[in-house]
Amino acid sequence: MIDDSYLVKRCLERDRKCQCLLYEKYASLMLGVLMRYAGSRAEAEDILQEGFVKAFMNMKQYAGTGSFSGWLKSIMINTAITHFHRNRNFREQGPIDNVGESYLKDHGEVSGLERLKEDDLLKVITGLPPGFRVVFNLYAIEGYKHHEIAEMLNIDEGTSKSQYSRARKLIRERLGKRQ
Amino acid sequence: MPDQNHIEDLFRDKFSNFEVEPSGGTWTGISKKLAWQEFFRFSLTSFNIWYAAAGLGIIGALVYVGLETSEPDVADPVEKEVPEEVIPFGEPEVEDDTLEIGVIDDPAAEESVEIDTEVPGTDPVVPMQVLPADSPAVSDLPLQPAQPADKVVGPVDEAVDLFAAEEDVIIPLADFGATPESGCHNLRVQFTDRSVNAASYRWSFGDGGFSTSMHPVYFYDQPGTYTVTLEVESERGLKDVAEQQITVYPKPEALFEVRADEDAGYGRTVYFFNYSRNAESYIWDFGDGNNSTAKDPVHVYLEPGNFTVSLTAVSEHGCTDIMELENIFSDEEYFISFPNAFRPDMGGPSDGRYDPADPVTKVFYPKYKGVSEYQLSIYNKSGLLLFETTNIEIGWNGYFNNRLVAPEVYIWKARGRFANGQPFVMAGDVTVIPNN
Repeated sequence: MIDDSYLVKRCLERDRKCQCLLYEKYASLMLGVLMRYAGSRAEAEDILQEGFVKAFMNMKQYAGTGSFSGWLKSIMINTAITHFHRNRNFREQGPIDNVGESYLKDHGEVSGLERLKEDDLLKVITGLPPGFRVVFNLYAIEGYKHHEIAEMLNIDEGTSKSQYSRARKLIRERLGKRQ
Repeated sequence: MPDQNHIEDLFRDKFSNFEVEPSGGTWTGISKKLAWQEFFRFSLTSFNIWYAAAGLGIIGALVYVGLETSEPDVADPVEKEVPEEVIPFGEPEVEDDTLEIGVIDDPAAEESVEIDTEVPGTDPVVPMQVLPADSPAVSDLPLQPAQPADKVVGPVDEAVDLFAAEEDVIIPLADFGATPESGCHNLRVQFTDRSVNAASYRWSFGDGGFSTSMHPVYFYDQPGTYTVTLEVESERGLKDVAEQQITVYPKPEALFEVRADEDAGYGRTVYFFNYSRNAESYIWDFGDGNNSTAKDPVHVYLEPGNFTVSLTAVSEHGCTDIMELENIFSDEEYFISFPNAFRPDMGGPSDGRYDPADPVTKVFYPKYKGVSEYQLSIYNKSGLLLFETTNIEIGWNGYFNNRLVAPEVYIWKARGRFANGQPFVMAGDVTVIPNN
């Protein structure tokens, strides 16, 4: 595997071949991230394209401190958030009540959450309303703090907390009843 | 039973290296977009190259001019002799020798003289000329009292005095205070300089941040223990360093969920599930005047209404975080609401089915979302039951026993349950408007 710092250097010189190598190295990981933020695969791939173009055009901003994949991921997430803001007013909320049902039907009682597959969890996440989904991703998986999320999404810290709480509740209901 | 307290860990674990192969055309799309965007940026770059070329041209012109002027320099050896011509100025060197003799018992002075003799021949002239004017100024300096060179007396010795004063310029002493020295996450610390004889400051806050102001304020946004160093430099370039530790305690994260008892009678029993992290004690405010310090309390609300519940999580160092959940009984997802009037169909009783998209309401029916159980009853003013249904897709057509009711006010009662198990009981009145 070619060293990131070398690839980054060549990408700064707009070496298309190295850009392609860097893309190939990280595209699937980044799409894995974006699938959690987007409502569909097509949307995730749109964001992926947009994010990579942004990353290559602004590669100068990558200071070289910290991992490149971390930097790339933050660009992807920011692009996803921009996307979310842009589409917020137009998107129809998905059918939130059916999500995860198929899993439960197939398996009856949920006996061990650990045994759940990524795909099932992904279904649960993508089934959340967009606002919940973004907050849940940022807080639970990416590990941002509520005050940071509030800043990123331009909402109150309290809104972030209560959205998160409600998202979590929906998720848990879909993963199996508590009592 | 799985450990459901850590949905976060489950998701984080599953998705930390989650990969999805993008479809084939993605890179082509990216490279096309890149080419397009770079095309625009390229014009900028070519401007830069143009500027660079212009700059190179100027440099070239300068070099050319410089070469022309330097040619005689190389050719003319007279210039090289100039240093030799300066040597006669070296007379002060003789004075230096006398200095050395005069101050032989003062080691500091000796050093200064040694330094002096190292200075190129032209330099000694300067101190000699400046000396008479400068000496009173030197005695004005507040730094003067601290130096031990006082015993040296005499006009010649004053020169020594000057150097001694400069050597001894008081050593800077770094010292500072911090308020507070420890505290909760997102800590604001006011640093106060207490250094002596410092001319410039360089603070390093231990997390990569630094400052050059005298009394900086710094925000620590990550918990941890940090070693703050203050390096001060005097006007003469002498340095000193002071150190102090700042401890930033992690803030707990308050997080909870609410679940109302499904078989709620008069009192509604509500279970609170506490998912707070880094906390060791809790303060609950149930919004109805009651409190609790239990971790996962169960509370019975005797009064109807909606309540705002807050949870304060307290860590071992007394750091707190608050989470508030407004209107615990409402859930944005689920609702049901009824109109207060409708116009029945005059042409005979319909089956009560309605089309929610139809703006003409010939049937009395609710707008709703997420209703799983439902019962609607219509009464007249004297309490006679006129209509009842448990099918939410069927509304009241305004007829009773196949006869249109009189145009007046009727009472409706609805009860049922939302999909999340929360029951609802509602009542109101509805006016039947005649069709003219």
